[in-house]
Amino acid sequence: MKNLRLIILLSVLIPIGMNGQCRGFTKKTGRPLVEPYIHNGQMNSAVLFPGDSADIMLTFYSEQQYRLVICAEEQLGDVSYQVSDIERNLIFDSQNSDSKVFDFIVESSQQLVISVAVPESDNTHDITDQGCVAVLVGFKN
Amino acid sequence: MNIKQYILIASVGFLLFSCGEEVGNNDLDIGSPEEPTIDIVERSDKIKNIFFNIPSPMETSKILQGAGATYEFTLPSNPSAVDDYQSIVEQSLNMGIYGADLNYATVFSQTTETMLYLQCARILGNELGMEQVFDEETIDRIEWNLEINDSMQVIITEIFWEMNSYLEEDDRQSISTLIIVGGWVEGVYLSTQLARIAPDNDALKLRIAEQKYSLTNLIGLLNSYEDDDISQDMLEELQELDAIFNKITEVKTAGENHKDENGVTTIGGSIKLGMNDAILEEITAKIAEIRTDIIN
Repeated sequence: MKNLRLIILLSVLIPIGMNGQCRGFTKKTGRPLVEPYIHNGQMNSAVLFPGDSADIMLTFYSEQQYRLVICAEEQLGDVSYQVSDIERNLIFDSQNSDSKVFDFIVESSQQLVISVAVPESDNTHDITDQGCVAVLVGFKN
Repeated sequence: MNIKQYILIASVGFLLFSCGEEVGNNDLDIGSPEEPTIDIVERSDKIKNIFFNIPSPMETSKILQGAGATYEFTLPSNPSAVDDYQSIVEQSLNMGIYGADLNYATVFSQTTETMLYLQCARILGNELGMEQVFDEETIDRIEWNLEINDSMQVIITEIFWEMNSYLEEDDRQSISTLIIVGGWVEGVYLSTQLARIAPDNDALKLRIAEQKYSLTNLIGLLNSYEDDDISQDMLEELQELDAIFNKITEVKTAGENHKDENGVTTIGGSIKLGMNDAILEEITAKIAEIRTDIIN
């Protein structure tokens, strides 16, 4: 019974804590990397565990220049990401780049898929290994 | 089942329902949230999350400006109606509508209208429990920068980011989604009405046709809330609109990607969209109908 109470308590508290964690982290760490582009004001973030992955479908307009920033909390390790077109043709792979950001223009407006992957860890079941991953988009004309 | 496994269930539940604001998620590998399976508990299978998002109203307003659109005072929603919206759904959708109008006014340097729609956003923000977004510092920044267009764009973008992040923090993503929906509807409404005013503006028509991509993502986002009746009502409306957008033809030509000396990659290839006047008229009528339902 004690365990059950603890479980219910954790079920309520963990999401609140995680959301707050992501918001603060994104604001402090992610948004400065968007500059000098204008952040589009949208927050695409999630708390992920080692081994998790996420796809984010976004639309980008032609005649705009974009900056894509992916930032992840340190405990998640070296989080990588790929940018592909809607037919999954690879455009950018962060593992082949030294830059933390991806600056780009699309010749034609289109949807792109950003695939984020958190590396595996020996402690994949440990709650302390979860962390925030945020995808931010900046733009300028 | 040990305590750690229960924690994992709780965490996955959180990922399903609250990860990402302005972002929907839709787990591919596991069953419905109401029926957790052993796969969730074991978590040995990797979790694949899918999120959707669309360009912000600020981006859309900039795009309209780039396409040669003008500011038309009669098009945005009536600021005086702000007090008429009493339910959370009405307030959320109209927050999106006013937010798009605010961005439209700001990009086109309409200072008076900017202040009017900021006030609408503030009123609805307070009603939705986000009064902390419009703190004294933010109000001061607005007053100091009201005549500086670029600064105002940044401030307004930050205001909406703060709102979205507060909603996420409070686990109220469905409200955030309704705000996004309202903003998108108003953006398309403004675009189609501006296209009526300037029927020879092909750049503007192209920007309207391109909304088919955002609509796809918007529907994906709403599908994340399949248990929510309000989202489902809106989803049906948008699916009807999507059927019209799907009449737009698309011809893709492959191209090369290249990186310039500043490190900016150009993603090549062209996508030609074909939209005749009849399709545009259908879109114009349908989006006006959806918008009327929201603002009345």
